[in-house]
Amino acid sequence: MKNNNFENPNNEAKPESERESKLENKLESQPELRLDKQEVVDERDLENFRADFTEIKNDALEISSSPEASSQEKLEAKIWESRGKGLLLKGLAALSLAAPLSTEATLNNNISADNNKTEIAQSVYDQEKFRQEVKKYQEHGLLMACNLASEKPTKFQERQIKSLENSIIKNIQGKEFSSITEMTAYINQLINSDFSATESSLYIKDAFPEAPGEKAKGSFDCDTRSIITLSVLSKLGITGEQVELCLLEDHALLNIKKEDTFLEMTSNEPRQLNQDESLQVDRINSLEKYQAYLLNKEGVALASEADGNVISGEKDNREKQKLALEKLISASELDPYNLNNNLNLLKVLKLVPGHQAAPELVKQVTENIQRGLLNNYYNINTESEIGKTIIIQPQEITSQKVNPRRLEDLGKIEDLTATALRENEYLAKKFVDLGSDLFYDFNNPKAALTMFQSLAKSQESDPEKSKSTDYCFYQEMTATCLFSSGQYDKYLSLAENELYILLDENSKLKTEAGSFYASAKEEESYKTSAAKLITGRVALNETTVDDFCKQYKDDPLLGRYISGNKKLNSSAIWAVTALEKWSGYQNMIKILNENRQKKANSK
Amino acid sequence: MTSSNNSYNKREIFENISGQLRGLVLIVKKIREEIDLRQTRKELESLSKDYEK
Repeated sequence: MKNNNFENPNNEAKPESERESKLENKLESQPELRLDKQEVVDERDLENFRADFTEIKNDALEISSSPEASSQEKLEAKIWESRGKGLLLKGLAALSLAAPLSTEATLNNNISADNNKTEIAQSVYDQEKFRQEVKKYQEHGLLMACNLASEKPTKFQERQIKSLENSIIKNIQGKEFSSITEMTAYINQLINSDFSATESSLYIKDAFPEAPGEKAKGSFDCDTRSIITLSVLSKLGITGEQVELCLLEDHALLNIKKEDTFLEMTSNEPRQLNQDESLQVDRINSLEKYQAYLLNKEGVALASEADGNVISGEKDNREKQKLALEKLISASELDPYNLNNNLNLLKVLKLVPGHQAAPELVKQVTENIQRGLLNNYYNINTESEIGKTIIIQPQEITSQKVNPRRLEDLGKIEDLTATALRENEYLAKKFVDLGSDLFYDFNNPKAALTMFQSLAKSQESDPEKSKSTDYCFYQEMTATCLFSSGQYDKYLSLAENELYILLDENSKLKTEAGSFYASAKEEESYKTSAAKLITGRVALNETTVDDFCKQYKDDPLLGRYISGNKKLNSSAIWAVTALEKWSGYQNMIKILNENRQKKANSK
Repeated sequence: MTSSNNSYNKREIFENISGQLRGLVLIVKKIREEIDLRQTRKELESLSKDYEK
């Protein structure tokens, strides 16, 4: 076990499946069988392929949570899971199920084609108009006034909301509490003690009947409970400096700041956040952020309606999606580093046809997410940006902002990112997910590149991590993104560097990264690097595939690959999918097939 | 380039990658089995100690 960590997994797979092995031998001796096969991969193959990764993921999870597992075993499980993910993505890309390694030209073609069909949503919020609306409800606490300005309840509903607030205040007066947390929980209890309500409504107004004699549409959820509680607290003189609305992946919590506690509004239980959770928190502590929070809520509701709506026509749903996008873009402008808003915006962009036509928007949104995560990691933004007056006196809706600390004050963003990624696994995982999303879902290699370069950089200064399989995966993805975004010179130098590592015996023996590249007794890795080399040189017009093949056909390392004596394997994904874009590819395939035919004939 | 050539290459690439993924399944499973085995052994030892008492 310990010595074969980096052996070619393919070698282990073959003895396990006799059927596959027999098929492999048959196809090896009769390559024409493969050439005639029109169907690329059937559904069942694909299902098994995806299921294999799920199996790895589940086993890795079991191992990492097992008290019996050693730290070495936990690390190994993580490495294999990461490698599995890389293979899954490569496999899907090979079948063009995910975005293939596209060239700049095809990417641009996609964009211009989509531009003709899709109108990209623009932000539409009008802050002045919103302020005027808020003023209409100024007899309520400010947060409630903002909410009512956005929801526009009936007069009957508004009266009931006010009456609920007043009855809570009346109930609470004269009572003593040992902490603000206890007082907040008590208010939450008074709103409604049914914490198990299943029919929770998104809007506060829907928890009240529209007119006398009617029934309310739903009950309170975590958001509506938080807003009412904050509104009551503000009337009692407890300000945003003491209690703050926070969002944790679409879930609202109240942070009782001085007591360092978060109150779960749907269970009414205080809790602490772990390190991963504290990186995901959005603090809603200024008028702009509150407006953004409301727009986000409306945008998500519209997008969900459009997504699950099979009754209305396509046109209706498209309109709803467009409106949802407009609201989410506005939210992102008002509160740029809000993780929740930006992640929701990405989700909705994925649903809308032609989302690739907005590469700059996608890039901006993901940069904002990165920045939001880093802000949380370095405790930027935890200070309330809002003055005390804004909560107590609702009519004053201009606030004096405290000069917030900026990330730039702490050092170079590049270095801060690398340090955070090196020290925090959750952040690294998030960057990998975002990078993969950008590359495979949004066909945006330029934006994905920054993610994978940051990840690779984070490992470089750590001698242990720079030997890891994760590092190899980041490097592979960096290369893929460099190529796909047309940065062929950088791509080529990376490929040459990899080949250099392989050729340097000392480095190969010393580093696990070297032995990873050289897994399968060098062959696989040489092929990968060779394929990259060909791709890079051809892309830079330094050579043609034909010339390259002629020049290197007797080369002891590259020759075996060029001549086609060995069948193309996963490494060839680089050359095959990339070179499809060049006219020279046809020649290359011709040579490979001729050689394969010669081999078959000579048998 | 003909479509059959394209299919040929894609299938071959896919087969190779899915072979490697299957290999990883076996490796991770092997680690997990070893850990499970240790856990069972430990539980059995503890049970037998209890029985002796």
